Amino acid sequence: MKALCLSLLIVTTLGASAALLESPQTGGLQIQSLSSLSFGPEGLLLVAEPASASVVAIQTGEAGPKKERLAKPVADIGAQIAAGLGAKKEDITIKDLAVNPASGRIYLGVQRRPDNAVLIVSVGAEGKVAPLNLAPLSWVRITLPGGTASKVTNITDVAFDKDRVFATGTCNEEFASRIFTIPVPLKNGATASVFSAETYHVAHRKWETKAPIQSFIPYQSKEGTFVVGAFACTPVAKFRVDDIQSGAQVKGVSMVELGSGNRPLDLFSYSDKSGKEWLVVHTQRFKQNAFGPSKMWGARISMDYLDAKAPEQTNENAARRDEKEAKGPEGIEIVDALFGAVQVDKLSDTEAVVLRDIEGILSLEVAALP
Amino acid sequence: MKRWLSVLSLVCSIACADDVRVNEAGKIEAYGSDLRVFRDDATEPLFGSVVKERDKVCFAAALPLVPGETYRVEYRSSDGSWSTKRLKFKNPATVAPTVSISPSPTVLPANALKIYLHFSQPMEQGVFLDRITLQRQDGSVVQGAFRETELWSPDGKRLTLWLHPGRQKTGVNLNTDEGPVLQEHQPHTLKIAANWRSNTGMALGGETVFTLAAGTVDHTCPDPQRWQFTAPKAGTRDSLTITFDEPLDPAMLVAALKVKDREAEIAGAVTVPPDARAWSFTPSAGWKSGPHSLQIDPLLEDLAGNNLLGPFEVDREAPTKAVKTTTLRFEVGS
Repeated sequence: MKALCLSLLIVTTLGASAALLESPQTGGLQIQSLSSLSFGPEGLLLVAEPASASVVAIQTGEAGPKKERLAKPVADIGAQIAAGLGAKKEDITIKDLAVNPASGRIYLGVQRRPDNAVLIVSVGAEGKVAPLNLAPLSWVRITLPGGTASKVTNITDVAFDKDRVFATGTCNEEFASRIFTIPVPLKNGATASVFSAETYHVAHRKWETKAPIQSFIPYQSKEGTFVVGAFACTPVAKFRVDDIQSGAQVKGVSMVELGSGNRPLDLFSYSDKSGKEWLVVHTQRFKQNAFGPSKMWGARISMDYLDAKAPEQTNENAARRDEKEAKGPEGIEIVDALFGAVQVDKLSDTEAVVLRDIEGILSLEVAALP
Repeated sequence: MKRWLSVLSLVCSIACADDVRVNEAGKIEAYGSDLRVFRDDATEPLFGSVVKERDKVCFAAALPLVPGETYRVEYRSSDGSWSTKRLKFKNPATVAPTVSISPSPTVLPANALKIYLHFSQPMEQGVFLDRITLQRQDGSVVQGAFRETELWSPDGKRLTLWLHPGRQKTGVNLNTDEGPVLQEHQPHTLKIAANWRSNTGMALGGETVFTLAAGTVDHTCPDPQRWQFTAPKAGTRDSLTITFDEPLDPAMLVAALKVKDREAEIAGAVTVPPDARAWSFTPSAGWKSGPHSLQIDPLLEDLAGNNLLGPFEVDREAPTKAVKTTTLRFEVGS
């Protein structure tokens, strides 16, 4: 009876998610490279595969319930992963971390040296690391369009948003920013639309036409649909992506400047207990941090800043974090739980999953959000 | 499957103990009822799947087994006892990789954005910031010289090495705080560490040193009107050679220029010399007489990131005119 119930559950789950993938393949998937992981609804895993300039969508079938929350921190998880990959600890890189919001299970994209082989592993409630078995899973692969003279070779981020998937990337040779959209349901060989993105750089008061978006989230407001992205020089900008034609140039509006010397790594949003919405920017500093023990840190920004009125509150007038204070201006503050974090993703509105590097040892834990 | 077969060919003589072996599919198999495989003396086993087949058990690793590595195989016999065997995989007899730089000689504008490193073999990734050092003439190391994003060509042999745009771009805070990466009119030394390995584990073996000569800054768009060339003659397969007034991005040059006979693109081979100051096209068939054109991708950049659409640094208070020319016309005569 238990087996029958399980079968029914799987059939129901896969049936419910059929609309996300059209004519998917099953089995035979090999991930050649990996730069970013992200989850859509119903356990849909999105993998950015830069070597093939593609986004791979995999139906994990893991659509809930949410019972895989990590029960306790996993110390030295790097050793466990390295052993599983048959490598020394110093010969692995955790390329990205994503939490399946449906189950709470943690997924890690790992690269092994020197052969650069990649593997997706997952960590459940008990803290045990297991490779994702791709053999029984349905998947599609969508190749992103390149420039006229070069192919996309760097996909910085990927995310699901209702009726489409967004990706950001660059070509290898051009210092340029591109936003891609892929319609849902996702299908093999689908054509992605591509937009060139430029935005205003608060720090040096010029149009920053070429800085690639490092990380982003889709964002809905009364004004429409936006991609909110963070750049290497750390302005947080939004790009309106309603009703634009492929090939168009999208002009971003800079909303917040976090200060120079920071490299944004991840973004996510959440609502605190009072219902106030925040954007979390996980960042790496080039230099020693003035307010914490690590160059890896994070800040949260009130989402109110994303609704700032142009032009008096945007671009050259955008809010700037006070680099000499832990807080300020109001609605911009350091998140202490992110010091030392090398990978971060939202688990819920109260918690994030943090992969922390403490003197070269990686630990995985659930951290409370403020 | 190909990877498995290539690994198979590396199994050394001690790999095939009677009761433990690597089978034709690249899986480790043993007589018994259970099997675990570890890297050398690791305490946690390799990720993989174990399948029981009659009196044998078969282990398929989640990632290919690695040449040069030793694996410890623990297997349970039918009587329930556990035994251990070690499998040693030979390193393939490959030559050490080598590295070259492009453009070469590496004479750069002081605000240069990128250079390319070409390796003879695909290299291990994720370590380039630890393997590449830029030094000034006095021997001091330029800290934070490179953009952290690692950009490899699809074949893993070419690394696009970005001199940090935040330092090379005027007025950006990093530029103001730290100064530019390159100092005008000064030689710099780029050192590639000896321990950088190919993806098969062979290290470069010796430190490789390149000289980078920095000139003045360049904020001018490439202008095809300043390029020089002589039209080839009809009936020949003579190369069409364009000579630039400055080095252009050597990687982009390969695909940025197209030769057309009226509207039809002509097939042929492109050559870019090491200094990236020229571009040659040899048609697959003889030139036909009549009007031809050279179509130029407006995104083609010089070494400072200026392209035909505009300079890398956009100054809103002193806008620069974009170059209008993206087509050069020429007549092929007899």
